[in-house]
Amino acid sequence: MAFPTRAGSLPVHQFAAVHPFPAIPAIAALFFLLFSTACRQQSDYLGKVEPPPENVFRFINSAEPEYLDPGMITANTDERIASLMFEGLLKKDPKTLEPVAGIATRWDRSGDGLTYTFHLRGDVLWSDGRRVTAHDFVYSWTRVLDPKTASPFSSIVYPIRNGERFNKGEIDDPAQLGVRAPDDHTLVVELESPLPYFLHLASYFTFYPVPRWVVEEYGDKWTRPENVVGNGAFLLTEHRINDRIVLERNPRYYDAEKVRLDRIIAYPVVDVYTAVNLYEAGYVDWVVDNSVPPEFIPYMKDRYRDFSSHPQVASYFYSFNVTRPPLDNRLVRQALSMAIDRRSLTDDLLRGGQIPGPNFVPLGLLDYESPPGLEYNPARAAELLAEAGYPNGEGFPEMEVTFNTLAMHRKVAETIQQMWARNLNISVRLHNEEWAAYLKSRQNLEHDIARAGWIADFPDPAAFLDLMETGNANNDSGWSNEAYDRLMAASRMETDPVRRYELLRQAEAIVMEEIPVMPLYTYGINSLKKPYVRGIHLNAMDLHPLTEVCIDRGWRERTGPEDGACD
Amino acid sequence: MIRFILRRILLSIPVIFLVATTTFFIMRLAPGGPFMSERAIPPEIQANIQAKYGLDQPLHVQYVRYLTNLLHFDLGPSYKYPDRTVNEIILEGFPVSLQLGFFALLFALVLGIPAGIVAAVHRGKAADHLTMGLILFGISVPTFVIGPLLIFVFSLTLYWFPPALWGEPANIVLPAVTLGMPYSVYIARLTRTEMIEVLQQDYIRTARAKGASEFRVLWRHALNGSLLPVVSFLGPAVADLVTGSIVVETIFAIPGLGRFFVESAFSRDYTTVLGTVLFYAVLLIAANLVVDILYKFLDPRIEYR
Repeated sequence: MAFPTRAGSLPVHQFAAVHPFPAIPAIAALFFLLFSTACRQQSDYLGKVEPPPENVFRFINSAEPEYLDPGMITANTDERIASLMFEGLLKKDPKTLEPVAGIATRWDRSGDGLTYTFHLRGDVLWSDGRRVTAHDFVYSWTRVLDPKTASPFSSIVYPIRNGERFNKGEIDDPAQLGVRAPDDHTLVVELESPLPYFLHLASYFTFYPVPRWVVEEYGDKWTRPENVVGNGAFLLTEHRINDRIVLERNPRYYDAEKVRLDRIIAYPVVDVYTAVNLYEAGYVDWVVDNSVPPEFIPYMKDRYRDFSSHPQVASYFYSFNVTRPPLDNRLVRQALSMAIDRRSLTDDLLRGGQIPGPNFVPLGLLDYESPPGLEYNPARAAELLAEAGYPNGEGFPEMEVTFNTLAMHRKVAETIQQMWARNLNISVRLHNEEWAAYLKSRQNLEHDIARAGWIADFPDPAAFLDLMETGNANNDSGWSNEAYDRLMAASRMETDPVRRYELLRQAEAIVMEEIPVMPLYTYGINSLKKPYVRGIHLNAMDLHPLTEVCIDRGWRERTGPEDGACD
Repeated sequence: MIRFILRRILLSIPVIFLVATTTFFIMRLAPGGPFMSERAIPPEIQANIQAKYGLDQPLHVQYVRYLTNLLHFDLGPSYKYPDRTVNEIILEGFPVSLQLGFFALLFALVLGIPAGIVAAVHRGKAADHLTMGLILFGISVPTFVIGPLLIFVFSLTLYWFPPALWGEPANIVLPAVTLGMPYSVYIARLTRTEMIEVLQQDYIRTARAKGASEFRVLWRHALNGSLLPVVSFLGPAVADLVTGSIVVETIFAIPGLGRFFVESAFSRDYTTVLGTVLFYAVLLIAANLVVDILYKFLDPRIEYR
């Protein structure tokens, strides 16, 4: 906060009265603080534990959603709201996140894995009373792919036959897309390749149906509370930007008897301290999305039962620009990677539940195990650097590590800077940029080394390995490897899940050997949840269907598992 | 007088035009754009998005279109929140900042003026030292320290007030105190200094000599005279307070305009940046005009030309 400039023109000497004992008020304040701290009670839970008087669930959404239109969404803050307002062909099981019957009660897959036929329930209604039909899905998917819609996430619909070509304007006729509705209750989907995770996509928000007549009438404003029509368990009734989003139970929802809550309130709180304050004072019931400040975690971990920390399918890594020396040399990249003590990074510095490792595909995926990678070995790292022509770091050019402005990224970069200096005797400069500038330099390959992170869109190693393919828009290293591209292409045609994972594993081994990106750790998810909240389950995707959440007023008497369902 | 006001309004038109133009082009110089995301968007899609918002046209065409819309008071759609227009964002956010600013100012006056009087009357005694000590504390401690301190004591320990959020009267207390604190301190010092000077004036001695009670001397005679500098401080202070504070709005999760003002610049939400900057420009010009007019009433010696 700045004072108005006018006040500055008043003569300063007027205010030169200085108190002889300026410390007195400070000491008084300190006493008050000590006194109030002593009054705080020790408890198994953080702060107030008092269920809200009404049947309402209140949570912290870590940012104001940009879109509530499922076809436009890219962020999980937006998804969290939209998945309450809309529902797709399939739902996610709240515990396992496996796709389960939603609007589609059953589905058939053709032998070649290219065609899916979904059979839809006949009793699903939009909130304005119209029936949800297969035609709504055809319209919605076509809309996402329509270049005029300009959906930022249209690429996730590319597995649909001709999806990419239609989206890029190479073909104009939407009838050529691999999605059609022979009748109101049947949806036939044809894919480009036998994608093994297609059912996951069918439960994904971009694939939700949207009401054509509302979209066409109101344009960009169709998702406002006064206009919107949905088919999900809740209806959007209030949306004040940066303030709150209120959703009320949808009486027309086909599975309405499973819905226990009358209302859900999401507060878009960006500041992590504010988020925890609200939780502690009992104004919210759930803090998710890493809105727990990392420095609180070691303190909370063993003290509070409502705090939890577990791995997230998300990777933190440094991207090397391999298009110019010295990073075009594989030996240099290996040396840099082997000179980093990842365990010290996560256990001594970050302490927020992260899991260190040289694996590019993060932990937390069922049935998939990354191949072994180059572990911390400073002696070997120094040898490799010497082999590359820089014995003891001599003649090594000073490079720049670019990261977006955030205290944590700086701490990580400083630690890595020290490790490289100590183990390889090389020096790097640290360079922080604010978000938009940082994205631009990364995507235009203006960096030497750039901090990066990636969160899985669907629980599959391909969500990460796709990034390193030649020509992938998110391949920010300039790396291209024929053998890798072949393996990835083969994995797409492979219908046997075990053999497919093996192909992906081989592909990952190439990345971990070539190091176009230097993986550092798997993210941890930290969250706070009041003990009276039931029906939210920890999972590595950090996706939480909230439809069946309930407030358990008798939680103190309950002895069962804390994440059990309501009954 | 009316000529003066008209003249000022006419003069402000080129100023606003200049602000609009500078902001428009400076924003475009910043790297990146409103539709950058960590998940890179294929170039074809990026082109579609740019076309949808007319960002693919030459800059001068966009500029002329922007100015034309501005003449109709249309600030355009927000790029970041596409279901809102910038006009709506300002209409939603400004009343919140205004309300918060009003109560912050009220707190500053209610605390600052009596504190200044007490300190002046007991000049050099314990009460003066105590008030001035607290003032020193209030000046040295920035809002981002006062805010969390108040939250810790009154929200997390005593559970008196909510630590954040907006909508209930109780939500206003802590942010208004946090925001108003530095102003109250300033007002207290202004009042004390002026009061000390006024109390030494002849007419105060005359009033005392006539046997007026001490309360009456202070209230009727001294206070009026010593409030002039406070009033002239209020003009710019009001403008500053109602424009919202990013720090206080963030700590207390308040949906005011101050956050849009700062955040839109980071997200390259061009229309919202321009809209809020212009809105503030108009607000400041208006506030200055009002202060200048008020001066005339407070001090008839001032002449308008």
